[in-house]
Amino acid sequence: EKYLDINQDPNAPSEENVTPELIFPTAEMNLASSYGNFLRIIGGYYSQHYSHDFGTSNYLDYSKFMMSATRSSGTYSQLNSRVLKNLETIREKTTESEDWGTYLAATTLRAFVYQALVDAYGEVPYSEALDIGNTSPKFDEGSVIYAGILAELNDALSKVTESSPVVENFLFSSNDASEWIPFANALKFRILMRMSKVQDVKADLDQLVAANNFPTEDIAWDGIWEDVTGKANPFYQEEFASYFGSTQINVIGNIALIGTLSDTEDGRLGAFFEKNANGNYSGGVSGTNFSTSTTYRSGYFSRPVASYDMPVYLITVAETEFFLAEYHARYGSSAEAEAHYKAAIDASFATAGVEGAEEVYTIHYPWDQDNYEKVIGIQKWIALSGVNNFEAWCELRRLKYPAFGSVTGEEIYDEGNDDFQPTLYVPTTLYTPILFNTQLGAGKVLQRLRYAESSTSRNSNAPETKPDSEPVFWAK
Amino acid sequence: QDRRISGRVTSATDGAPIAGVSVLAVGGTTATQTDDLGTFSINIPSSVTQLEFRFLGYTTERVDVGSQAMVTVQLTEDASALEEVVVTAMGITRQEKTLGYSATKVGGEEIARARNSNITQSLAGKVAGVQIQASSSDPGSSSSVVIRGFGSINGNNQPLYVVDGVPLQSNTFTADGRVNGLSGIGNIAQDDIESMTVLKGAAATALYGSRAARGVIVITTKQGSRGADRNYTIQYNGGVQLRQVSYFPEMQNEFGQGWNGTQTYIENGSWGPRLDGSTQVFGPIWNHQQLIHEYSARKNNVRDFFDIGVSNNHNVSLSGVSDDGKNTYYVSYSNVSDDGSMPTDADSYERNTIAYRGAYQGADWFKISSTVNFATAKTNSVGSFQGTSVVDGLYELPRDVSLLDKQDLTNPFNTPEAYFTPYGITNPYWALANNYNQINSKQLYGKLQADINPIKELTLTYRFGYDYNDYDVKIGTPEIDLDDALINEDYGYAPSNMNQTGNVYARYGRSYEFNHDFLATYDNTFDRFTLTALAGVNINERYSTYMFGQTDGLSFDTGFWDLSNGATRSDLSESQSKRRLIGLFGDVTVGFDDMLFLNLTARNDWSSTLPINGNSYFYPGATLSWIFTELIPQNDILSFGKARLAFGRTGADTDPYRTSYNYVQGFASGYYATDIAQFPMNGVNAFQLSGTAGSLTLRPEMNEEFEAGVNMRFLRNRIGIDAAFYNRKNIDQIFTLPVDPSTGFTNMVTNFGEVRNRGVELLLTTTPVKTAKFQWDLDVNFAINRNKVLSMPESLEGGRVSIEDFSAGDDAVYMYAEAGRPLGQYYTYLPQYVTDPNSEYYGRMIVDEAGQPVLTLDVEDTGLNMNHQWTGGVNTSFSAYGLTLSAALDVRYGGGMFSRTKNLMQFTGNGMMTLYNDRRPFIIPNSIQRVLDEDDNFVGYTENTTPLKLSNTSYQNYFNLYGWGNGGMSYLVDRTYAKLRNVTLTYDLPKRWVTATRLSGISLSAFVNNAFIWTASDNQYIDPEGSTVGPDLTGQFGELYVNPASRIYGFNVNLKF
Repeated sequence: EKYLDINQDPNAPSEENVTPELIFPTAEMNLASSYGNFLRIIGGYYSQHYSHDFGTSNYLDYSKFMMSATRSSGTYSQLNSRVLKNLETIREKTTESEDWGTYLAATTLRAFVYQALVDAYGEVPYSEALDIGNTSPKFDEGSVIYAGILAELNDALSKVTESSPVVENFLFSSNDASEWIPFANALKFRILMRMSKVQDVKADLDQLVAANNFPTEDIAWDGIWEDVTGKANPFYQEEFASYFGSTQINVIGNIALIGTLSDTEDGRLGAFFEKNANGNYSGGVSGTNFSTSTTYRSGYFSRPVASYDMPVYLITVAETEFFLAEYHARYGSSAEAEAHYKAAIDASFATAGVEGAEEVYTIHYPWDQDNYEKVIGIQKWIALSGVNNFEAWCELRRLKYPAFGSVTGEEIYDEGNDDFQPTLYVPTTLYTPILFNTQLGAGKVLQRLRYAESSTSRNSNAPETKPDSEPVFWAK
Repeated sequence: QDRRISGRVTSATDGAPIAGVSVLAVGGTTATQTDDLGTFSINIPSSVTQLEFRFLGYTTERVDVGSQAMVTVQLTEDASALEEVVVTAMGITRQEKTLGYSATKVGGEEIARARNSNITQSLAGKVAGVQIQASSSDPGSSSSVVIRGFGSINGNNQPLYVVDGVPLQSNTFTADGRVNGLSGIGNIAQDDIESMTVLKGAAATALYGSRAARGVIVITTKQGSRGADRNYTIQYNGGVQLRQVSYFPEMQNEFGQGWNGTQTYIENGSWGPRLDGSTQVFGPIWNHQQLIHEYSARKNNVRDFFDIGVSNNHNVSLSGVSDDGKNTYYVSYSNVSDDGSMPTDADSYERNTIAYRGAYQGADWFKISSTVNFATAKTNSVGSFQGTSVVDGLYELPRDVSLLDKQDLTNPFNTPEAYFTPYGITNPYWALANNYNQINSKQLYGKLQADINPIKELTLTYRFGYDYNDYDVKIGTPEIDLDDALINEDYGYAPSNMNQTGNVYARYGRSYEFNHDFLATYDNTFDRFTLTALAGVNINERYSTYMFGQTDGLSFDTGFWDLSNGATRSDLSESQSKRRLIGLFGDVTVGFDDMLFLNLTARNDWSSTLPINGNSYFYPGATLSWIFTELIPQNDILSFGKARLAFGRTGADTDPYRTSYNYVQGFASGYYATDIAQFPMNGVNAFQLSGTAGSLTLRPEMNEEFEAGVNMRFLRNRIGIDAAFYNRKNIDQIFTLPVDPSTGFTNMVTNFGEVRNRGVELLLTTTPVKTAKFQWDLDVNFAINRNKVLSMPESLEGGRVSIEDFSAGDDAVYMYAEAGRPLGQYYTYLPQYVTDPNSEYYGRMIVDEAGQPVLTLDVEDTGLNMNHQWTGGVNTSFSAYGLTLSAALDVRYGGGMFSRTKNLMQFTGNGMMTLYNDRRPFIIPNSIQRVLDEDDNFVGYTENTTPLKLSNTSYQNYFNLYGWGNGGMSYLVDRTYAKLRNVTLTYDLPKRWVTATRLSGISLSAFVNNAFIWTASDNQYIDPEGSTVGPDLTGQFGELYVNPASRIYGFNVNLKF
C-alpha cells in the first residue's frame, strides 16, 4: 500500500496550504490580461476607435465588425477558469473563515467579470457554472445574471465595514475594504444603469446615488507593471513590445475617432494617439488594411499611445460622472445632469493628463438635455477611447450614439484607385466598414460576440449561436 | 581423455550448409554450433559415442561417431515445423507453431540493410498492420509506430519496446516543429540486432502488463557465438551515405514579387506583375543603396539552397565463446554521423553506442548473464515554424528573388537589417546560421540476470533491468534589434518590424526506469501432453525530472546560447514525476500431441497512478492453436497448416498525478502570447488552480481484443500465408476531456469513450524461383484497418472532441474524435452550395455581394480523416552468384492530412494554383448570390455577375481568405502515397577470394533509401509522412512548415574475420 502511495505531485503545493492571499493576485492578473488586452482591442475596433494598419491583417476581421467562435474562446476560457474559478475558491475559503473584506473583494471582481461576459456574449452559464460535477451547465439569460450579481454585491457589501481586512492585492494599496466598497458601488451603478433602459431599476438607483459613495479615483491596475516579458501591461506586450518574437503592428487610430477629436482640436488626441511619421494625426478606415496602397502605408497612420506601465482601467471617475449625468437627465434636473456631464469631461481630461475640458462642454459639445443620450454617448465614446474601449463598445450599443452617418467607408477610401478622402468623414458619426460583416449588415454596430467555441463544442446545453445583430438584453 | 571431432552439416533438401546447428555431446557437457559453412569442431571425452544435431525446422539427428575424426551429417527438413522460434513475453522463447496469436519476426540482416540510423524506419512496409511514420527525413527525427490502428484518443498509441526482456524508455522532445528522440529505440545500433518480433494483439502482450496495451516490439540482440574455424568473430560493417533533398512543392514561374498584382518591392510573395525579364529594384533603400535584379523566375531557387549531406556509419563487433564453452561474449561499438541536406551541419545527428553482452554457464543448474548498452546522441535541428525558419524563408520567397547571392551574412541586404522583406520571414542562410537547436542525450540500459534450475523442469529467474537517460536541450533564438537608422526608404513597412527579443531555452533532465522480474518456469512432458507454466512478479519504477530555464532580451544577439545572456527575463521551472507498478502474472500452455496448444494468461497490476483505493486491476487472456496438418498425411502441397484463436484483455493505468486538483504558479495568456502575465510579479508570488481537474474515481483503461488467424505453407514451404482478423476495443479510456470553461476548468481527467479497430492482415511469403544458383523471394503484406469511435461523452456537442487543430485568423481546421466516425475526422469552414434539390440553382456555389464564396459559420465535416484505408508492402530480393538485389515498397492508400505548406503556396502566390485564369478577372463559375428584401429576408437567388480581380484585392482575397473557393479545404491533402523505401544491391565476394584475405566473409552493398515517392494527384506539396505537430496521435494531424523530404544514396562494406 505504502509503496504505491506516491501520487502527490511534488511540483504543486498542497491544496490546503494555498490561502486566498496566494490566489488573489493571479485572479487579478488573468482578468487584467483579458480585459486590458483582448477586450480592449476588439472594443477599439468595434467602436471605430481603432482600424487596421497597412501590411498586417491580424485583426482585419475585427475591423470588419466580425468575431468568430474560435477567436473569442481564449478570453472566455481565461475569464471563466482562471478568474472566476479562483475567485470562487477565495469566496469559499473566506466564507469559512468569515473574512468578509476579502470576500467582498473577490465578489466584486466576480461581478465585474460576469457583467463583462454578459455584455460581450449576451448569455453565459451562471447559476450552474463553476461546478466540474456538471459539464453541461445551462446558459442563463443576461438579465438573470445581472440580477444575480447585483444580489451578490448587495450581500457582500452588507457583511463588511470599511475596516474589514482584505488580502494584499494589486488594485489597492490599503489592506482593508475602504476602497473596495466604493468600487463595488460604482460597479453596481454601472450594472443598474445598463439595465435602466429595459427594466425599472429607479428605486435601486435612487438609493445608490443618494448614498453617493463612489470612488474618487480611477479604479485601475496602475504602478505595478515592469518592462519585462510577462510583467508589463498586457496590451503593450501584445501589440507594442517585441518580447514574443517579431511584433506585428496592427492597431492604428480610426478616422472616426481621430477625425472627431481633430475637428475640435481636443487635447486628448495627443494623450491617446501618437503622431504619424509626418507629424500629423491620421486615422485609418475600418474594413481595410490598405494592402494595395502605395501611399497609405505603415507610418502614415497614428498608433495608440502605449507604454509598458500604462494602467489597465476597470472603472474611471469619468464613467461614474457620465452615469450620474444620465441618471439626473432621466430622473432629476437638467442642471444637476449638466454639472455631472461637465464633471465627467473634467475627469476624462484629468485621466488623460491634459487641459481643455472646458472648451469641450462650453463650446463644442455643450449639455443638451433634450438630446442627453446623444451628447453623453458621444462624449463617453471619446472619453473611453484611450482608457477602456470595451466599455465604449458597450455604451455605444446601449446609448446608440455616436450614430451612423450617411457616408460609407468605401466612399472615404477607394481601394481600387488608392483614393483616400478623409474630409468626407463627418465628425461624431460612425460609418460602414469597407469590407463589412455581411451577417450583421451595413450601418450597424456589432451587437455581440458569438458564443465561444470552447463552450459550445463541449456543452450539450449550449444554445444555438445568435445572430451578430441580436442585441444583448440591455441593448434591445 | 578428450578427443576432437570435426564435421559438416548440410541440408538433405538441397545440400546447402546449415549454419547455427547445435552440436551436443550426448552424455557429455560440451556443445557447439555450426558456422556459416556448416562446419563445426568439438572436443568430447572418450566416454561419449554419440553426437546430437539440433536445428529448428529440421528433424533432430543422433550420429554414432565411433572412432571417426570427421563426420558429415545431413538434416532433413521437418515439414511440420516452422523455422521460426519467437521470443515472446518475458523473454520466453517459443516455437511459432504453438502460438495462438500473430507474431511477425524481422531478421537483423533485413533491419541493417538500409542503414537507417533509427531502426524502426527499417520496419516500414515489412509488417502487416504496423504503421511506421518518420516525423521528417531530417537527421535524428523520431518515428511513430502504431500497431493495428489508433485506439487511444488521449495520446499514447506507441508500442512498448522490450530489449532482451527489459522494457526500454521512449522519451521524445518536441520543439520548433521537430520531434526528436531523447532515449529509446533510436539509440539502438542496427548491427547489434539479432531480430525484432512484433507482437500485435492483446493476448500476445497481456503478460507485459499495462504498457503493452498498444503492442510490443521485442528486440533480441546478438549474443556471443563462435566464428568459422575459430571461437570468435570480428565483424566490421559500415559505409557512407549521401543525402539529397527530394520533394518540394511545385511552384509557378509566371509572376513575381508583389501583392494584389502590383510590385511592392518588399513583399514576401509572388502576387506581383507578370515576370518580364526587365531590370528592377527591390527591397528597401539602405544607406542610399538598393538591390537590383532581373525580374524573371529563379526556377531552381529552392532546390539550389540545399546541398548533399554526407553521412557515415561504422560498426565493429567482437563475438565469441570461451574454450570451455561456459562463457559467451559480444562487444560492439557503433558510430553514426548523419548530415542532412541543409547547407552546414545545422541539421545533423551523431550517435555512438557501445554494447556488451556476456553469459556464464557456471553449472548445469546455474547461469548468469548481463547486458550493458551505452549510447550518446547529439542532434542539431533546423526548426519547422512560422517566421524566421529556413523553410518559411524558402517557401515564401518571391519567384524572382535569387537565393544563391544571399550567403554572405556580412552584407546587410542578407540580414534582417535590410533584407528585401520585413514581413516575418528572413534569409534562410541567416536563419540557418542564427537559430540554434541542439539536443545531447545519453542512455545506459541493460540487465543482470540469473537463471537457476533446481530440477531440470523448473527454471527460476531473477532479472534486474535498468535504463537511465539524461539529456541537455538548448534552443537559441537570435535577437533582432534594428533601429532603421540607415533605411532611407522602407516602402511602407520598416525592417525593424522584424525585431524580436531573442531567447535562450535550456532544459536538463534525466529519467530512469528499474524493473525487477521474478519468474518461475516449469516445462514438462506427460505422455502426449506438454506443459509450460510460468508465474512471476514484476516491480517497476519510473522517474523523470527536469529543470528548464529561459531568458530573453539577449545581450549578445546570437551565438552565445547561455542563460546569462538574457537581460530582461529569467524563468526557471522544474518537474518531477514518479510512478510505481507491481504486477503478478501467470501463464500456462498445454500442448496435446504436438497439434493442439491452449494458452491461458492472467495478470493483476497495482499502479500508483490510479486512486489508492482503486489501483488494482486484473486481466486475462486465452489462445488456442491447432495444427490441423497433423491430421492429414504428409504431402507436398500443404506442408503446414495452423488455425488460431485468441482473446485477451489488457488493462492500462495513466500518467502520474491525475487523481487530484493541483495548483500551479500564476500565469495568464494573451491572444497570441502565452505567458503575458507570469508570477512572481511586482514582488508578489501567486498560485492558481490548474486548468485540468484530476479525478478521484479514475478507473484503469481496458483494451479487449479478439483475434483469429491461419498460417499455412504450401509446396514444401515455398509459399506461406499468414492471415489474421482482429477486433480490438479500447474501453474506458482515460482522457483529458476538454470541458466548457464555465465549469471552472478547461479540461477534466475522466474515463470515457470506446474506440474500435478491426481489420484484416495478410502476409504472403513466396519463393517463386529457387535453383542452386538463383533465388527470388517475394513477400507481400496487406492490411485493412477500420477505425471507429463507438461512444463519446454526452456533454460534447455533436459527440466530438478536438484532438488537434490549427487556427489562424478566420481559418480553422480541427481533427476530431467523433462518435460514429473514424478517429481523426477533419472539420473546417466550407463553401456553401444550394442544397434544395428542387431549386433551379441546386448545387451551385453561393457567393456574397463581393462575389466571394460564403463560408459556413461553423466548421463542417470534410469527409476526410487521418486513417489510411489500407496499407501494404512488397519486399523482394533476387540472389545469384553472390549478388542480391532487394527492394522494399511501402504503400498507404487513403486518408487526409493537414498541410500548411499547401496553404502557403496559395497564400504567397508561389503555388501553381495561383495561376488560375492566368490571374485575370473572373467570376466564380456556377455561382449565385442570395437576394434579400428590404427587411433582410431571403427571397431567392440570382446569377452572380461580380468578378474577382487583382486590382481591387478580391482576386487575391479569393485565395487568401476563401481558400481559392475551397474554404479550409485549402489546408487538406490526400495522405496516400507509395514509397520505394529501399533498393539494395549486395555482393558477397566468393569464398575463395575471401579466404585469401584471411577473412571469412566480405560483402559490398549499394543502396538508395526513399528512392521514390508517388503521392496523390492533389498533393504536389509534401511527402505525406512528414509531421511537425508532435509524436503519436496528434502527429497524425499533419504538418506546419515541415522541412522537405530527402533521398539517401549509400554504400556499405561488411567484413567478417
